[in-house]
Formats: sequence, C-alpha cells, structure tokens
Amino acid sequence: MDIIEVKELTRHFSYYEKAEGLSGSLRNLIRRKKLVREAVRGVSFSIGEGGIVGFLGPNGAGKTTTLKMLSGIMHPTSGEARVLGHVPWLRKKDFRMRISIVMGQRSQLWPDLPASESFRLNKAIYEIDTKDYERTLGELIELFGVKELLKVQVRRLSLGERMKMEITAALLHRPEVLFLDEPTIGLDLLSQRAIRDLIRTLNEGQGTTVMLTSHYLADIEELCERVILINRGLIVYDGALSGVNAALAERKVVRLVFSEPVARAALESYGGLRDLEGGAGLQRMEAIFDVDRARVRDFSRGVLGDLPVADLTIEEVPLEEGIARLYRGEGGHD
Amino acid sequence: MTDAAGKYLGSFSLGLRAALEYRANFFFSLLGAVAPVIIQTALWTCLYAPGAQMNASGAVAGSGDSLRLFGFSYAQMLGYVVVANIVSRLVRTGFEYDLNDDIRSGGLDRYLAKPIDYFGFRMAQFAGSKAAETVFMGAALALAIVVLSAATGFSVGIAAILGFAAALVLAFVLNFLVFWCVGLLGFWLTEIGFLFEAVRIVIITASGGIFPLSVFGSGPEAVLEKLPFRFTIQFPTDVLCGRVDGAQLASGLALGAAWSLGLFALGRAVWAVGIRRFVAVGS
Amino acid sequence: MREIAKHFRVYMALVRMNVMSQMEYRANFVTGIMMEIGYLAVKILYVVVAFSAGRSIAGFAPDEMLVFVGTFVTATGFYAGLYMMNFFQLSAIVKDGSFDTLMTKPVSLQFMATLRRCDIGIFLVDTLAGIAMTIIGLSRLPGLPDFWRLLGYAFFLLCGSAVGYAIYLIPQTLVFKLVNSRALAGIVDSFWDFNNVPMIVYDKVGQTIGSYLVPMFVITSFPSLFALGRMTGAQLVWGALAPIVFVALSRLAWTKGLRNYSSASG
Repeated sequence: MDIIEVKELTRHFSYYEKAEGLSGSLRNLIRRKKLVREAVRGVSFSIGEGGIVGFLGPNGAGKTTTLKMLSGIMHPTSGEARVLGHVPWLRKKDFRMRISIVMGQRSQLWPDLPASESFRLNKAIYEIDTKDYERTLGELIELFGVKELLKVQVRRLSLGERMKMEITAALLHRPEVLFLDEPTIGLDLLSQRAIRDLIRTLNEGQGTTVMLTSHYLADIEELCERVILINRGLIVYDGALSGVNAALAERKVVRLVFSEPVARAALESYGGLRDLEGGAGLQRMEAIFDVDRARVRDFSRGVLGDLPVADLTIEEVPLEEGIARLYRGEGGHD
Repeated sequence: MTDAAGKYLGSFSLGLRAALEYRANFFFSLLGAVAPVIIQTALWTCLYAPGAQMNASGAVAGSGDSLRLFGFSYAQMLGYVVVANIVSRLVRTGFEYDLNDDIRSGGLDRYLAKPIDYFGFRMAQFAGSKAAETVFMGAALALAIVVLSAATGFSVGIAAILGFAAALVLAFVLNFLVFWCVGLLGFWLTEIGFLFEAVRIVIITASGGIFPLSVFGSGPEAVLEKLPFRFTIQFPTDVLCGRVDGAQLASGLALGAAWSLGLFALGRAVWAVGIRRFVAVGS
Repeated sequence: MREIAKHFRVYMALVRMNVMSQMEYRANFVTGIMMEIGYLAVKILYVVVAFSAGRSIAGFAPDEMLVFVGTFVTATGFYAGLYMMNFFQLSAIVKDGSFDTLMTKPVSLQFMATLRRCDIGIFLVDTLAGIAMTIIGLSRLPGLPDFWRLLGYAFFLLCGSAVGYAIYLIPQTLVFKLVNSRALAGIVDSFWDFNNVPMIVYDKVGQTIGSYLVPMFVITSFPSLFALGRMTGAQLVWGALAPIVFVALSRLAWTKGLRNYSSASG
C-alpha cells in the first residue's frame, strides 16, 4: 500500500461577491451573490514509501490547499485520501504522531525563547523518549551546524537560521511523512541549500516520505525525482523531473538594454524577438528575446559583438508560461 | 455620474464608512458601561434597603425615605451611577498609545522642531473625535435620563445642562492634559502599555468614576477634591445631577482651569526634556 | 488516563515557557502586576463601601461580602491568569496560521488553543490576594469553618472555574465564523464583573438566570455560600452538576465550530 493515496480530491470554497462602491454595499445588504472557487479539482496520485515528490505550480494553483487536506487541517468537498492508512481529516492521534508539517513563513517556535525550549515542548507533545530525543536532536544540529544558536532567542535569528530550527523542531519525532509548504521562500541561497541537503539526507537515511510544495523550480530540481505539476486545481503533469525540466528549461529569456537606439529589423534578424520598447528621448531601448537554451551562448556572442548592448540578462521562462506551454505540448485540457 | 460628482461621493462614502466603523467601536465601548451600571445599581439598592443598618457609621444620615449614604439619597445615587459611567466613557482618551508608538517608531522626527505642532495635532484630533462622540453619547445620556426620571423622579434643569456643557469641556481639556503628561513617560520607559492601564484605572477611581469620592471618607475626600482628576468625571456628573450650585460651579471651573494651566506648563517642560533625550538617544 | 498525564506534562512545559517568556520583559512583568493590583483595588472598593456604610446587603454582613469578593478575586486569578487571554487571541492565531499548525499536533487542540498561554504574575497576585481576603472574612465571622467545609469550598471553587472556562469558551467558538471577535470579547469580559457583588444583590429573576441559564454565579457565589454555610440543597446539587453540563456543552460547541472551520475556511 502506498504511503499517500489520493483519489479525486476536490475542494471548493464558497464566498460572497465583494461589492464595488457605496451602491454595491447597499445592494449587498439585500442580496449577496454566492460564488464558488474551485481550488482543487479531482486530484489523484499516489506516493510510495521513501518518495520525495515535488508539488509545483504557480500561486493559487491549489498546492497549499492539497497539503492542508493531506495533513488533516481541511476537509475536502469530495474525494478520498489516505496517508499512512489514515484518513487525514479525521485527525486520529496515531496519524498526528507520525506526520509533520512545516509551512514556510509561519513559525511554531516561541519567539522570545531559545529554540531549545520549543524543542523540549515538542518532546513532551510527541512523547519522545529522552534517549531518542537527545540522539535525534544531536544528529539534526550536526547536520544543520547550528549548535551555537541553540541558546539564542528565536527572534534574534536570521530567517535562514530560524527555518533550520523550524525544520529541526518538526523532525524531532522522526515522522514517517513530512509535508513542506514553500520551505525555502525568502531564504538566502546558502540556507536554501542547507535545507535541501538535510531533506535529502533524511530521505536517504530514514526513508522519510517527503511531499514538498514550491513555486521555485530550483527546490524541486535539487530534491525530487518526481514532480507533480498543478495549475488551477488540476494536475497537469505527474512524472519524472526530466520531462518537466525539458519543457520548462529548454528556452531562456534574454533581455538586452541598448546604449543607442537600434533598428527593429536588425533585431528581428536574430530571431525570437518578443518585445521591444523605449528608445524615444532619454529612455533606453530594451529588447526581449526567446532563445533556445542550446543557442544562448552563440546568440549572446553575436549581439554583444554587433549591437551597442549596455546590459544583458539571461532569465528563466516564467513558471506560468512554462506550464502553459506544457499544456500545449501535451495537447492538454484547459 | 460626472467625474466631480463621483469624486465627492467617493470621499463622502469613504468618510461615512470610516464614521460608521468608528461608531461601531464606540457603540461597543458604550455597551461596556451596561454591566457596571447594573452591578452598582443592584448593590446600592441593597444598601439603601430599610432595616439594613448593622453598625454605626459616619457615612449614614437620616433614615427611611430621607436616608443618605455618603451624602447621597437613593435617587441621587442612582443618578450618579448612570451619569458617571456614561461620562467616564465619554472623556476617555487613547492617544497616549499613539504618542508612544510615534516615539518608539521614530515617527516623532517629523514634528521635532515644533513642539506645539505635535501637541496641537493631537489635541485637534482629540477634539474632533470627542465632538463626534458627544453627539452620540448625548443621545445615550438623554435616553438614560428619561429612564431615570421615570424610575426615580430624576430631573434636570436648563441651568444644569448648560453648566454640564461647560464642565464637560473642562473635563475633555483636563483629561487630555493629564494623559498627555502620562504619555510623555514614553520618552523614558520602553515597555509602557500596562503602565498606562494601571495609571488609567487609578485615575478613573480618583475621578469618581467607580464610586463618588465621598466613599473614601472625609479625609481622603478632601485631598482628592483638590486634585484635577475629579473634574474629569465627578464634577460634570454632579453638575448635571443638580448637586452643584452657581457659586460652586464657578469655583469648580476656576480650579479646573487653574489645573489645566498647570498641567499644560508641566507638559511643555517635560516635553522639552524628553524631546532632547529623544534626539540624542533615538527611540 | 495516560493521555491526562501526558497533557499535564505538556502543561507544565507550557507554564515554564510562559514564565521564561515573561521574564524577558521585566518591565512589562512589573507593570502588568501593577495593573492587576489596580484592578484589584477597584474590586476591593466594593467591599470598602459596604464596610464604610456599616449596612448589611440583602441579609449578609459586610464580613460575608468580604468572603464573596475574596472568592471572586481568586476566581479572577484563574480566569485572567490561566485561560482568558487565549480566548481573546483565538481569532489572531486563526488568522496567522498557528491554529492550523496546532491542528496537526498529537495533543488536544482545544487544550492547546485555550490554555497555551498563561500569566503567572496575574495568577499569583489574584489567587493570593483572594485567598487572603477570604480567610480574613471567614476569621472575622463567628464559628471557624472546619476542614470539610474548606475542602468543600475548594471543590466548588474548582467546579466554578470549570464553569467559567466553559461559558466563556462557548461565545468564542463563534470566532470560527465571525471576523471581529475583539468587540465581542470586550463585552463578554465586562460581564465577568457581575460577580464583584454577591449574587443575592440581584433580584430573584436575575439570580435564577445567573445560576441556571448562564451560570455566572456558580463561579464565585456558590463556593462562597458553601463556605458561609448558606447554600441551599438545590444549589449544592447544581454546583456539582453545572461544570459537567457546561463543560460538555462547550466541548460540543468547540467541535462544531472546528468542523465549520475546516470545512469552510479559505
């Protein structure tokens, strides 16, 4: 049996239409229009033991809502799910003892006390044996390298350090399933890497099943072999990371800023011109190109040599666009 | 709708909405007066009940229908309870927290060179909100008086109402100045929220906001009568309830005005020292 | 049983953390106690008035009123020191997401959400002052109470606090639906002071409503009546039954409110 089984999970939110202006407010007093937002629409997937699965999608895609349903915080509108054999939203004690959830930008640590105090609280909450507790805590501190920070008040820690403490707190009871909701959001590169390393070590060493949501491709790339792509409540793609990578990363966006105006025709000769603006008066001219990843180097060399380029930036294709392209690539539904 | 009309309607509705929300908060604060009025009325009704005397007491005079406790007849005491509770909520301040926020956040910087301006700004704001509140409270007070007169024969004459208006203005000014001085403590103390509350509760008690000052006994009462606090709640209440004659009204207003000047001067002096410290030390 | 022992251990850990947290802000701790002493002075003023006038209150002597108010102050220590602030923060933790996190922990959610925070300063000031007042009042009255009477007093006091917890929790479960519970909290809090005077001060209708419908008076008047040996048979029975009934009701309100939350929240 799979650790996580999800079948046709659906979640609708009903809300009242917000009125515009005074007349709208008055109208609303008499009758309000009820609207429905379909956050998650018939999502199905399974995750086996020891899997690390990335849940990728733009903001509002339904990732956090799905995670909330699987951790027991929210009831679905319809559909079924089982985690470790339990129905999550029944919130049985055995279920809660064996899972853990970390939500980025939300803290369960007490800000005015050192993290070690919040750890002790978790020890009592999760009924962790003292020997096990000390062993696990020791391992996590070592992996994160935060020994000196244990006695520092949480509110004095940097964002990255705080997140490391959050994750440590969440892992003290050695959960079998770990849910992570945007864990690296707002963090510096070094911290992001440290967290990803830890999760990988955990997964390899203890076989913890990890379900991770993010809207950064980098998070998923580093950790997950399998990625589930979700957009507007529907699963768009469920499979190996390499498939997604190819679709999203095969093209790059090159942004050029020119020191002098350049003729449009000249730019079009390079191919892939998407946008051109400025050039009148004091405003510098900017051009945006879509370039195949393999061609980026030649393209850059070319424009730098031939055109009065003041600045050149190479960017990823925005996630939403990449997903939209994936739709088209798959001949998908929308 | 034309552009101009739309804009005016927009600002009007914005203002209206703000006023409505503000009124809601104020309404809830008024509701908070209901409990004390009920509790105190019930207590006094028991205390004024015939045959309840157990020990001799200096606070008691007369008996039966002419029984007076702490200088009040039963009807007068009920009048005091209702009016004092309403007045107490009406003269309430809250800007000392905003002042403290400005000191903490450094937002005070903008006003640094002009002490009168910040003070004037806060005072104007206070006056504005009190003007609005008085209208609303006035209605509540009128209603309460109607109920009182039906129940206890409470009556209020024109002279009393006019005197009350004057005393109320004095109460606003004094309460503002008192809490302005309290708020200035923020220049020296950082964690101040609870201190404001502690001070506020003591001041309300010393103002006669819970019980009339005569319950403290003649000794303490004599002292309290000279202090500025009584003019924020007890004095206007006594005026409205017709317990203050013309001469007492005049002397009371005079004493209150004197206190206002004194507190204003104190506030200015403390501000000067505090602002210097603020500039030197930062928030 | 094991669960109760566990929750007791968790509670001890929480108390320790609360005390440590408070110690971080020493000035706040001190001024907080000053504030509580201020409120205490006002409560005591009600007794002073009775003593000053030298009059009885619905057949009760001022010394007996001292017992009532002392019990009221002790109960306030439980209310303001142990559970009230959690009720007021409920909508805040729902809004910032910490409530969601608590839902995933293997402890009683109601326990964590309603007892997580405590203020030991307030608790100690009120319970010590209240107990002192009660002892003084009882000692000034003829006939000192025996051990069983004091035990019974403690029993009804604890029952009363359980009732207080329950009847203050029930309106808060509306927070799962309402957006602004602060205003509600403010009004409901002002009702606490109805116990500043003995229940016999109110008329018959008020006493009935306050004993049986919204059992405010069970919290402090009932234990006081017991200590003074003036409790009726019906009150004795209800004093022991009410906590069971109302704690059960509050539990029902909580689970229903929670169900609404996790089915409706966005």
